[in-house]
Amino acid sequence: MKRLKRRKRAFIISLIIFCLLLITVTALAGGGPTFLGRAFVTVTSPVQSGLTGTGNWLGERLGYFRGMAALYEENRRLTAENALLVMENSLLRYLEEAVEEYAMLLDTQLRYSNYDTMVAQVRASDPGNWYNRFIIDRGSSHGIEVNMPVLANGALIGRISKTWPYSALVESIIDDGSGVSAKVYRTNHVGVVRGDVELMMEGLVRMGFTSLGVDVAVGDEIQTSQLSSYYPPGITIGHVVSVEVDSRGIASAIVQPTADFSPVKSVLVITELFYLEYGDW
Amino acid sequence: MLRAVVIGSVIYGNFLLQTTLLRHIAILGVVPMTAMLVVVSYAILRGDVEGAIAGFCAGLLQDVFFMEYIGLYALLFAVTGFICGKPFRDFFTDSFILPVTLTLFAMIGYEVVFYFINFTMRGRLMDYFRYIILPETIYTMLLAIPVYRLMFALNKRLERHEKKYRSIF
Repeated sequence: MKRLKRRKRAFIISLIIFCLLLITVTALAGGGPTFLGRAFVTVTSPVQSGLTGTGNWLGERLGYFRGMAALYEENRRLTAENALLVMENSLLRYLEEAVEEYAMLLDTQLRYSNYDTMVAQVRASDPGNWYNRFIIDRGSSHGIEVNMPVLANGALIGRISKTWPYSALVESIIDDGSGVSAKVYRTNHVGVVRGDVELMMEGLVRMGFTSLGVDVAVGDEIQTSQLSSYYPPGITIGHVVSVEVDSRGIASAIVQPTADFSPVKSVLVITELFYLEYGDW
Repeated sequence: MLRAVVIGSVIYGNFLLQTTLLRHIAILGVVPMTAMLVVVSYAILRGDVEGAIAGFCAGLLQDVFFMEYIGLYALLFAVTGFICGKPFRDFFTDSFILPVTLTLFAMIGYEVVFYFINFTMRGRLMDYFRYIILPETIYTMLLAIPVYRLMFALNKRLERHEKKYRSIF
């Protein structure tokens, strides 16, 4: 009996040590995909896609009749919004041409937003409740690389954090702990958008500023700033829903991300890298 | 051998479910941690070592897919499996009080440790409790009984099959 107990204890201790070794080794190796991982992910991918597709299909069927009235309303709203956007778009194109003309006159180089993009479907989402990561069905063999920005609904939703040949892992901006350097579009004040556990449940994020006297108001659009080390500037993050000022006079804004997290179904990956060495925060 | 295949399939199937369909039945934004239920049930039925192995496999699966550094979930699940299997090897398996209470403690213990490893710098344990740990634990506990029954039935059939082999020899 005692020998059995000793063997059991030895086994458990070696198991724990093995896990710790695993963590150290993979951390030192940089956190990329492993051979075991590749095998598992490749085998699991089609099943996960099938299940997610079925789940989505079921969800749509079940919500079909319930959603009828909402759909009519939304359709009307979208048509109106569309008309507005078309007009804005043509205005912007005119401005774009004007700006390019002036840039040429000033002999500067203008990089404009014609980034290469790729559409991807969400295959699986994080099984835990701490993070909002998900796996998409495009991987390194399609040209996806780590740190590429990921958008949903035309706005920032996260970045690629790990790739396999046919899948990739995306980290979300609302995850507690991730930070995006952002600016208030109207006033160009720079701050950092962070996930926050209290707000995460409502799908919101907090934008913190470091200086006093920041001019930010409800309804302001928040975009990525030039200081971001992962993302190109000018990508919409969301809109301000409320502003809080703490006792020292430092403001923070609660932002509603434009990307829809509930649940994410398809995303747009910008297949260009903007990664620089210095950190976002 | 058969046992490994069967339990491995259960863990794998649960992982598939948790990452795809379970998201749709999230309440208050939380998904039940059925992986924990599988591991805890198995640990109650088969003891500490087998519970640790089951936990290791379940955690490793999650690690490989959703984490950059592999081993954390594997470690946490393995230890949880081990602890849950420790004193209860041949315990009275008909009442449901044991699996449900063990799930409660396992979930809270596991999540608090997870918090300390990843989120201590952010402080505010109370917020995490309120928004993540508590809802998740309650939701998971609600599913503890059906999952445990399934595992118990599955395990009974496996043991019956294994006894047959042993009596032949």
